[in-house]
Amino acid sequence: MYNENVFNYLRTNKLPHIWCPGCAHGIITAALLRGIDKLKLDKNKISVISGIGCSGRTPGYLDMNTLHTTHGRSLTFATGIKFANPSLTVIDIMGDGDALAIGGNHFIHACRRNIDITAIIFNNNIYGMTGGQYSPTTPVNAYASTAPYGNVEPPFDIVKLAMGAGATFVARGDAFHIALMDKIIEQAISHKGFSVVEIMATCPTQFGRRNKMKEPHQMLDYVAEKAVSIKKWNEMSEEERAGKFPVGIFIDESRREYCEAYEDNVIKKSERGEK
Amino acid sequence: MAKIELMSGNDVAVKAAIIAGCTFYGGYPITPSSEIAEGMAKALPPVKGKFIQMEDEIAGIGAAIGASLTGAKSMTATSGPGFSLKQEHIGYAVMGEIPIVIVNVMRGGPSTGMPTYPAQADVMQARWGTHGDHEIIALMPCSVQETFKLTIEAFNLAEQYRVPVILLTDEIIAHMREKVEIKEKNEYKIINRLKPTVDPENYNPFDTKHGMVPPLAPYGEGYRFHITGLTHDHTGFPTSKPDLVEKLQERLRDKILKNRKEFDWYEERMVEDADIVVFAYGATARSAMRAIKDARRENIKAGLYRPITMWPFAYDNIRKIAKTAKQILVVEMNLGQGLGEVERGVAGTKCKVKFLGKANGELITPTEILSKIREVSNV
Amino acid sequence: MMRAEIRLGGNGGQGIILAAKVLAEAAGIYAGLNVVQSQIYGAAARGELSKADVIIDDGDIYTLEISSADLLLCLSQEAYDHFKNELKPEGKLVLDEFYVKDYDQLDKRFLAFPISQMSKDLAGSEMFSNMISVGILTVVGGYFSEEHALKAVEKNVPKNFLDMNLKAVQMGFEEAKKKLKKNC
Repeated sequence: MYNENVFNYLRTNKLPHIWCPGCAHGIITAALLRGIDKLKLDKNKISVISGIGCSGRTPGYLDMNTLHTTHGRSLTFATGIKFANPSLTVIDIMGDGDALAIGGNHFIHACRRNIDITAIIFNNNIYGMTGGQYSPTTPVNAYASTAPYGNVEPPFDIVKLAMGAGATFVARGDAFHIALMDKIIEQAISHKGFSVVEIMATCPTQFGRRNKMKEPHQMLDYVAEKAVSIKKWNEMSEEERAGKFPVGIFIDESRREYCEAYEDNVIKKSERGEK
Repeated sequence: MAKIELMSGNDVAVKAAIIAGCTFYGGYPITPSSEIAEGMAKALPPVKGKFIQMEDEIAGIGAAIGASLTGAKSMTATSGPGFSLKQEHIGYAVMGEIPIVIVNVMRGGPSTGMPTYPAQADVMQARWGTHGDHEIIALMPCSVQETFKLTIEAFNLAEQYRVPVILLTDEIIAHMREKVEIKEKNEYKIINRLKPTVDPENYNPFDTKHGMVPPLAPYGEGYRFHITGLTHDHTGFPTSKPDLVEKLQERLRDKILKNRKEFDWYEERMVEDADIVVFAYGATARSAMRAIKDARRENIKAGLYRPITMWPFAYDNIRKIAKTAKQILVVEMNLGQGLGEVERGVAGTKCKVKFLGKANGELITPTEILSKIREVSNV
Repeated sequence: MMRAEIRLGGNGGQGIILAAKVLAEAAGIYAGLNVVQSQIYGAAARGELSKADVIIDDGDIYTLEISSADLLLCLSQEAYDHFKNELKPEGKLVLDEFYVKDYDQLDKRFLAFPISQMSKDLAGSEMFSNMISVGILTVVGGYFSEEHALKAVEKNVPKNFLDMNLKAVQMGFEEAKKKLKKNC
């Protein structure tokens, strides 16, 4: 998977990154850059936006038009950027708390609008940067700094949420299965419309330590063991599915993209004086 | 050729925004500002502009800021509770130095308050609504014609100083129709943001080599740069080094304060020989204009000072008045938001500050102001 | 110095905001006076008591609200009950006698017209009551000419309804003139 070209897209003077040893964010970032390289995108024409949290630091390392915004609201900025200049490739990187707690409303509406943005959620099941508080994807009974007796809140299923809200490309990968992650990210960027990519990430520092997986490899093993292909998942019984999650592309469909719809249905009509 | 039209404050804000070159609106409907969103939804497409109704107030301004980074002149509009929600991103625009215009049509508060009744309840929210030390520009029109003028100026200031600019109107000015003169677009002075002249390799988004306001490149034209809401250095990347942070904070302040004289807009009427000067703004100032005329007929030497640039506050102008007037009567549709600033302005002089304020949804009438003028003048 | 305060009252849906806008444009754009026109916000869509004000002045307008009217239009009983006491001693109140049944018939300031009936006679519906009112108020108020009013109507109504609207305004002119003559 090593690809020398990814350095062309990095602000190498900003390295080393701030992420902890064992954190998967760097692995996902590399996959993103391999996808961009494979698609031969012009880095002058890519805008990468993020919110607040560990994932939020990603754009800072990328030699593109980058914006580190507010917690949970990155999709609102991304929407403005894409809508105002549809020629840009817009990629929005969010964490699980970012996208689904404080930014949950922005997330479902971006799915509904089907604006051509690729949203990548680095899901490490925890608020890493602020000290290990439980997030909307923390599993039930897992420990977190704000769940010292174990978490009682059921987590979101990001894939189901995104599909229900109308995203036209929805996929899940994990930081262990690199080939699949590469394929998903590349396809997501190519997809015309709102693409949601959830990558199961790892946070040994904040999640692992509290949940008997303090060694980095333990957390990678954790996601690796839980990930099953969609095909296999469909053949599994409810009991077999317990504690696992399906990975792959769940939906890749074509629906009228927002910017194009506005151009055709609003701007052109107004030019013709129609209503 | 100039055209005279009968228009409301909200309608004219739309017209002025288009003349100023606005090509993007992101917002969320809220009474009593919704006509601006409705008007922009109609007016933008014919000029190839984009209108988007977002899922909430925060998203509306977020989209507008994003659009601004692609080079678009961008705006949003709201009212009281929506303005509260937008504060997070007003702070972001301050920190990222991203031009944007926010129209806030003031209504009664706190909370849902009185959606369809006027107030001047957001004077302090405009100043200090977002967290952290910052300066902000806020303009307050007292007529439909002035709403037109100040909307264009709001865009000009936003572009010139790379700042969010707030147009603070009220429900009365927003909804009443008056005559406005609208000239051809080329008869107005329109300011566009400075673009960089250096090569992309040498571009820094917060470079102050050429002054306090660094040129801003649009996304997508080869200038790859980074913006963050974190404190940052001239390159745009985060820093928490005290000396660099201090430099940033000072520049964000000074680019507004040190240029304030360029937009020190106010109106004075019969102030020179006045014993009592009424301090009033927005719709309230209209009532005050009548009241001081009536007071003069009763041989009370009354005058009016009307701030048009509300923020940064013109303490010097107040101090100057305080040297000649015996009293300043602050009249506002709130319980004393401008009062404290006037008191700061007169501090150390013999001038006394009196107050007439209301926050019950009613416009303060000329009669009420005249009665107060009589009362404090001991007539 | 001339200042006139006109208030139009009725129920939402009777078109009084459009009528107020026409009066304001007649005075402001065509007669060259200063005007401020405002209305209750949001009531029109909900069918409740609706109010629209027009202030006309040959000088600058500082007082943005009407305390008592020089000219008051009441198209509903509710509007009459609500606003009748906000009429100046020398003011005039124009009412639609079809909807305002209960009013002080002895008050010399009150001018009753069968406005909605006139509209039905003209077009088989009440939708022109507002423009008939514009015609009546133009004559009774005398702040601007009939020609100014007609121009303002032309600017503000949809082209395909222009003829009927102009007829309605003219009907208002005629009935008002007849009534004023009789009252002299």
